[in-house]
Amino acid sequence: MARKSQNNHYKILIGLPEIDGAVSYHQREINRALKPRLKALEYVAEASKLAEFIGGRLEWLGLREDWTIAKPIFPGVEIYFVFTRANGEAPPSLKVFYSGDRISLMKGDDLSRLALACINQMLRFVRVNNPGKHLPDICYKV
Amino acid sequence: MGLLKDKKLISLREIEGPASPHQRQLEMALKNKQQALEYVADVAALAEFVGGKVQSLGLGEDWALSKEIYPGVEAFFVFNRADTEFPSSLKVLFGGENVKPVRGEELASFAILYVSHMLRYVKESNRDKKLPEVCYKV
Repeated sequence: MARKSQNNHYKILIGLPEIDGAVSYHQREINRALKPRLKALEYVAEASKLAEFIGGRLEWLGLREDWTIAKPIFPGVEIYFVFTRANGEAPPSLKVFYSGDRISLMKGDDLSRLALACINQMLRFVRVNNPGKHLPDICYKV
Repeated sequence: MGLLKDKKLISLREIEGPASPHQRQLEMALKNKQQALEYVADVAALAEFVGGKVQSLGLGEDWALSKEIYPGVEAFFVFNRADTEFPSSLKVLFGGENVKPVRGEELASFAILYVSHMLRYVKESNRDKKLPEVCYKV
Protein backbone atom coordinates (compact mmCIF):
# COMPACT_ATOMS: atom_id res chain seq x y z
CA MET A 1 0.00 0.00 0.00
CA ALA A 2 1.46 3.40 -0.96
CA ARG A 3 0.20 6.34 1.12
CA LYS A 4 1.09 9.99 1.18
CA SER A 5 2.13 10.94 4.69
CA GLN A 6 2.12 14.37 6.37
CA ASN A 7 5.54 15.23 5.03
CA ASN A 8 4.16 14.75 1.54
CA HIS A 9 6.24 11.72 0.63
CA TYR A 10 4.76 8.47 -0.56
CA LYS A 11 5.51 5.63 1.78
CA ILE A 12 5.19 1.95 1.10
CA LEU A 13 3.43 0.27 3.99
CA ILE A 14 3.34 -3.49 4.19
CA GLY A 15 1.75 -6.05 6.45
CA LEU A 16 3.28 -9.23 7.83
CA PRO A 17 1.86 -11.35 4.95
CA GLU A 18 4.15 -9.39 2.59
CA ILE A 19 7.11 -10.30 4.82
CA ASP A 20 6.16 -13.79 5.98
CA GLY A 21 4.10 -14.95 3.03
CA ALA A 22 0.34 -15.14 2.56
CA VAL A 23 -0.23 -17.62 5.39
CA SER A 24 1.57 -15.52 7.97
CA TYR A 25 1.54 -17.20 11.36
CA HIS A 26 2.70 -13.95 12.97
CA GLN A 27 -0.15 -11.98 11.43
CA ARG A 28 -2.59 -14.38 13.07
CA GLU A 29 -0.67 -14.11 16.33
CA ILE A 30 -0.85 -10.32 16.26
CA ASN A 31 -4.55 -10.34 15.34
CA ARG A 32 -5.24 -12.56 18.35
CA ALA A 33 -3.27 -10.29 20.66
CA LEU A 34 -4.93 -7.12 19.34
CA LYS A 35 -8.45 -8.29 20.01
CA PRO A 36 -8.52 -7.75 23.80
CA ARG A 37 -6.42 -4.56 23.50
CA LEU A 38 -8.57 -2.66 21.03
CA LYS A 39 -11.22 -1.47 23.46
CA ALA A 40 -8.58 0.02 25.75
CA LEU A 41 -7.33 2.29 22.96
CA GLU A 42 -10.75 3.98 22.89
CA TYR A 43 -9.56 5.70 26.09
CA VAL A 44 -6.80 7.58 24.27
CA ALA A 45 -7.94 11.20 24.40
CA GLU A 46 -4.80 12.83 22.95
CA ALA A 47 -3.05 10.85 20.27
CA SER A 48 -0.15 13.34 20.15
CA LYS A 49 0.61 12.61 23.81
CA LEU A 50 0.39 8.88 23.14
CA ALA A 51 2.84 9.30 20.26
CA GLU A 52 5.23 11.17 22.53
CA PHE A 53 4.89 8.51 25.25
CA ILE A 54 5.94 5.68 22.95
CA GLY A 55 8.62 7.73 21.16
CA GLY A 56 6.70 7.96 17.90
CA ARG A 57 5.06 10.67 15.83
CA LEU A 58 1.56 11.36 14.60
CA GLU A 59 0.92 10.70 10.94
CA TRP A 60 -2.12 10.92 8.75
CA LEU A 61 -2.63 8.30 6.09
CA GLY A 62 -6.02 9.38 4.77
CA LEU A 63 -7.63 6.05 5.61
CA ARG A 64 -10.42 7.70 7.62
CA GLU A 65 -8.50 6.69 10.71
CA ASP A 66 -8.87 8.50 14.03
CA TRP A 67 -5.12 8.46 14.48
CA THR A 68 -1.97 6.98 13.04
CA ILE A 69 1.29 6.78 14.95
CA ALA A 70 4.61 5.88 13.35
CA LYS A 71 7.18 4.42 15.74
CA PRO A 72 10.77 4.27 14.45
CA ILE A 73 12.45 1.05 15.58
CA PHE A 74 15.77 1.32 13.74
CA PRO A 75 16.87 3.70 10.99
CA GLY A 76 14.91 2.46 7.97
CA VAL A 77 12.48 0.37 10.03
CA GLU A 78 9.18 1.83 11.25
CA ILE A 79 5.92 0.45 12.59
CA TYR A 80 2.64 2.22 11.80
CA PHE A 81 -0.35 1.88 14.12
CA VAL A 82 -3.60 2.95 12.50
CA PHE A 83 -6.58 3.25 14.86
CA THR A 84 -10.24 3.80 14.09
CA ARG A 85 -12.74 4.19 16.90
CA ALA A 86 -15.90 2.13 17.10
CA ASN A 87 -18.94 3.72 15.51
CA GLY A 88 -22.52 2.63 15.10
CA GLU A 89 -21.58 0.25 12.32
CA ALA A 90 -18.13 -1.12 13.08
CA PRO A 91 -16.13 -2.08 16.19
CA PRO A 92 -12.79 -0.34 16.93
CA SER A 93 -9.96 -1.31 14.65
CA LEU A 94 -6.17 -1.19 14.93
CA LYS A 95 -4.14 -2.03 11.87
CA VAL A 96 -0.39 -2.50 12.05
CA PHE A 97 1.86 -1.84 9.05
CA TYR A 98 5.60 -1.77 8.52
CA SER A 99 7.71 0.56 6.44
CA GLY A 100 11.23 1.70 5.66
CA ASP A 101 14.08 0.89 3.31
CA ARG A 102 15.54 -1.73 5.66
CA ILE A 103 12.26 -3.47 6.47
CA SER A 104 13.21 -6.42 4.29
CA LEU A 105 16.09 -7.21 6.67
CA MET A 106 13.63 -7.91 9.45
CA LYS A 107 11.90 -11.16 10.32
CA GLY A 108 8.14 -11.37 10.78
CA ASP A 109 8.36 -12.67 14.33
CA ASP A 110 10.70 -9.82 15.34
CA LEU A 111 8.29 -7.25 13.92
CA SER A 112 5.21 -8.79 15.50
CA ARG A 113 6.93 -8.94 18.92
CA LEU A 114 8.00 -5.30 18.63
CA ALA A 115 4.52 -4.21 17.56
CA LEU A 116 2.91 -6.00 20.50
CA ALA A 117 5.39 -4.50 22.94
CA CYS A 118 4.57 -1.01 21.60
CA ILE A 119 0.84 -1.67 21.96
CA ASN A 120 1.43 -2.76 25.57
CA GLN A 121 3.24 0.54 26.13
CA MET A 122 0.14 2.29 24.70
CA LEU A 123 -1.98 0.52 27.30
CA ARG A 124 0.39 1.78 30.02
CA PHE A 125 -0.27 5.26 28.66
CA VAL A 126 -4.02 4.65 28.92
CA ARG A 127 -3.60 3.46 32.52
CA VAL A 128 -1.41 6.43 33.55
CA ASN A 129 -3.73 8.96 31.92
CA ASN A 130 -7.04 7.64 33.14
CA PRO A 131 -6.74 7.45 36.93
CA GLY A 132 -10.00 6.70 38.66
CA LYS A 133 -11.64 5.25 35.56
CA HIS A 134 -12.60 1.63 35.28
CA LEU A 135 -10.50 0.50 32.33
CA PRO A 136 -10.53 -2.82 30.46
CA ASP A 137 -8.73 -5.49 32.51
CA ILE A 138 -5.92 -5.78 30.00
CA CYS A 139 -4.67 -2.30 31.02
CA TYR A 140 -3.80 -3.65 34.48
CA LYS A 141 -2.02 -6.70 33.11
CA VAL A 142 0.65 -4.97 31.05
CA MET B 1 29.64 10.27 23.58
CA GLY B 2 27.88 9.90 26.93
CA LEU B 3 29.51 8.71 30.15
CA LEU B 4 27.55 5.82 31.60
CA LYS B 5 29.03 5.73 35.07
CA ASP B 6 26.83 8.64 36.18
CA LYS B 7 23.63 6.83 35.20
CA LYS B 8 21.74 4.32 37.30
CA LEU B 9 21.72 1.16 35.26
CA ILE B 10 19.91 -1.99 36.27
CA SER B 11 19.61 -5.52 35.04
CA LEU B 12 16.40 -7.50 34.67
CA ARG B 13 17.15 -9.01 38.10
CA GLU B 14 16.61 -5.63 39.72
CA ILE B 15 13.28 -5.33 37.90
CA GLU B 16 11.96 -8.87 38.25
CA GLY B 17 13.79 -10.16 41.31
CA PRO B 18 16.76 -12.50 41.77
CA ALA B 19 15.11 -15.46 40.00
CA SER B 20 14.28 -13.38 36.91
CA PRO B 21 13.31 -15.83 34.15
CA HIS B 22 13.87 -13.19 31.50
CA GLN B 23 17.41 -12.46 32.68
CA ARG B 24 18.14 -16.14 32.00
CA GLN B 25 16.33 -15.94 28.64
CA LEU B 26 18.41 -12.88 27.74
CA GLU B 27 21.70 -14.49 28.81
CA MET B 28 20.93 -17.61 26.79
CA ALA B 29 20.10 -15.57 23.70
CA LEU B 30 23.25 -13.49 24.06
CA LYS B 31 25.48 -16.51 24.55
CA ASN B 32 25.47 -17.57 20.92
CA LYS B 33 25.35 -14.03 19.54
CA GLN B 34 28.10 -12.22 21.42
CA GLN B 35 30.98 -13.90 19.61
CA ALA B 36 29.79 -12.40 16.32
CA LEU B 37 30.23 -8.92 17.78
CA GLU B 38 34.00 -9.47 17.63
CA TYR B 39 33.57 -8.54 13.95
CA VAL B 40 32.44 -5.00 14.77
CA ALA B 41 35.28 -2.79 13.56
CA ASP B 42 33.51 0.59 13.70
CA VAL B 43 31.30 1.07 16.76
CA ALA B 44 30.07 4.49 15.61
CA ALA B 45 28.78 2.89 12.40
CA LEU B 46 27.12 0.12 14.43
CA ALA B 47 25.43 2.72 16.67
CA GLU B 48 24.19 4.56 13.59
CA PHE B 49 22.86 1.33 12.06
CA VAL B 50 20.79 0.51 15.16
CA GLY B 51 19.82 4.13 15.88
CA GLY B 52 21.76 4.25 19.15
CA LYS B 53 24.57 6.25 20.76
CA VAL B 54 28.14 5.28 21.54
CA GLN B 55 28.69 5.45 25.29
CA SER B 56 31.60 5.13 27.68
CA LEU B 57 31.52 3.29 31.00
CA GLY B 58 35.10 4.11 31.79
CA LEU B 59 35.58 0.53 32.99
CA GLY B 60 37.87 -0.77 30.29
CA GLU B 61 35.09 -2.04 28.04
CA ASP B 62 35.87 -2.28 24.34
CA TRP B 63 32.68 -0.48 23.49
CA ALA B 64 29.30 0.42 24.89
CA LEU B 65 26.22 1.80 23.24
CA SER B 66 22.76 2.82 24.30
CA LYS B 67 19.50 2.62 22.39
CA GLU B 68 16.22 4.21 23.39
CA ILE B 69 13.27 1.82 23.62
CA TYR B 70 10.73 4.48 24.63
CA PRO B 71 11.30 7.97 26.04
CA GLY B 72 12.75 7.37 29.51
CA VAL B 73 13.52 3.70 28.79
CA GLU B 74 16.95 2.79 27.42
CA ALA B 75 18.91 -0.38 26.83
CA PHE B 76 22.70 -0.33 27.28
CA PHE B 77 25.03 -2.82 25.61
CA VAL B 78 28.51 -3.23 27.04
CA PHE B 79 30.96 -5.34 25.07
CA ASN B 80 34.36 -6.77 25.93
CA ARG B 81 36.36 -8.60 23.31
CA ALA B 82 37.78 -12.03 24.07
CA ASP B 83 41.31 -12.06 25.44
CA THR B 84 43.67 -14.79 26.54
CA GLU B 85 41.79 -15.23 29.82
CA PHE B 86 38.14 -14.57 29.02
CA PRO B 87 35.77 -15.16 26.12
CA SER B 88 33.92 -12.20 24.58
CA SER B 89 31.24 -10.77 26.81
CA LEU B 90 28.13 -8.70 26.14
CA LYS B 91 26.20 -7.32 29.09
CA VAL B 92 22.79 -5.71 28.72
CA LEU B 93 21.54 -3.20 31.26
CA PHE B 94 18.56 -0.89 31.35
CA GLY B 95 18.10 2.66 32.50
CA GLY B 96 15.82 5.68 32.42
CA GLU B 97 13.17 7.17 34.68
CA ASN B 98 10.35 5.17 33.06
CA VAL B 99 12.00 1.76 32.97
CA LYS B 100 10.25 0.22 35.98
CA PRO B 101 6.69 -0.04 34.57
CA VAL B 102 7.91 -1.94 31.49
CA ARG B 103 7.71 -5.70 31.87
CA GLY B 104 10.94 -7.67 32.01
CA GLU B 105 9.69 -9.89 29.22
CA GLU B 106 9.38 -6.89 26.89
CA LEU B 107 12.76 -5.44 27.87
CA ALA B 108 14.37 -8.80 27.16
CA SER B 109 12.59 -8.99 23.78
CA PHE B 110 13.77 -5.52 22.79
CA ALA B 111 17.33 -6.27 23.88
CA ILE B 112 17.45 -9.56 21.95
CA LEU B 113 15.99 -7.91 18.84
CA TYR B 114 18.51 -5.06 19.07
CA VAL B 115 21.37 -7.55 19.29
CA SER B 116 19.93 -9.43 16.29
CA HIS B 117 20.00 -6.15 14.40
CA MET B 118 23.65 -5.68 15.42
CA LEU B 119 24.35 -9.05 13.81
CA ARG B 120 22.67 -7.81 10.61
CA TYR B 121 25.16 -4.93 10.72
CA VAL B 122 28.01 -7.43 11.17
CA LYS B 123 26.73 -9.38 8.16
CA GLU B 124 26.38 -6.24 6.01
CA SER B 125 29.77 -4.84 6.95
CA ASN B 126 31.71 -8.11 6.56
CA ARG B 127 30.44 -9.46 3.27
CA ASP B 128 33.79 -10.98 2.34
CA LYS B 129 34.31 -12.87 5.61
CA LYS B 130 33.03 -16.17 6.91
CA LEU B 131 31.07 -15.20 9.98
CA PRO B 132 29.60 -17.23 12.85
CA GLU B 133 26.50 -19.14 11.69
CA VAL B 134 24.22 -17.05 13.90
CA CYS B 135 24.82 -14.02 11.65
CA TYR B 136 23.08 -15.80 8.79
CA LYS B 137 20.08 -16.78 10.92
CA VAL B 138 18.90 -13.31 11.98
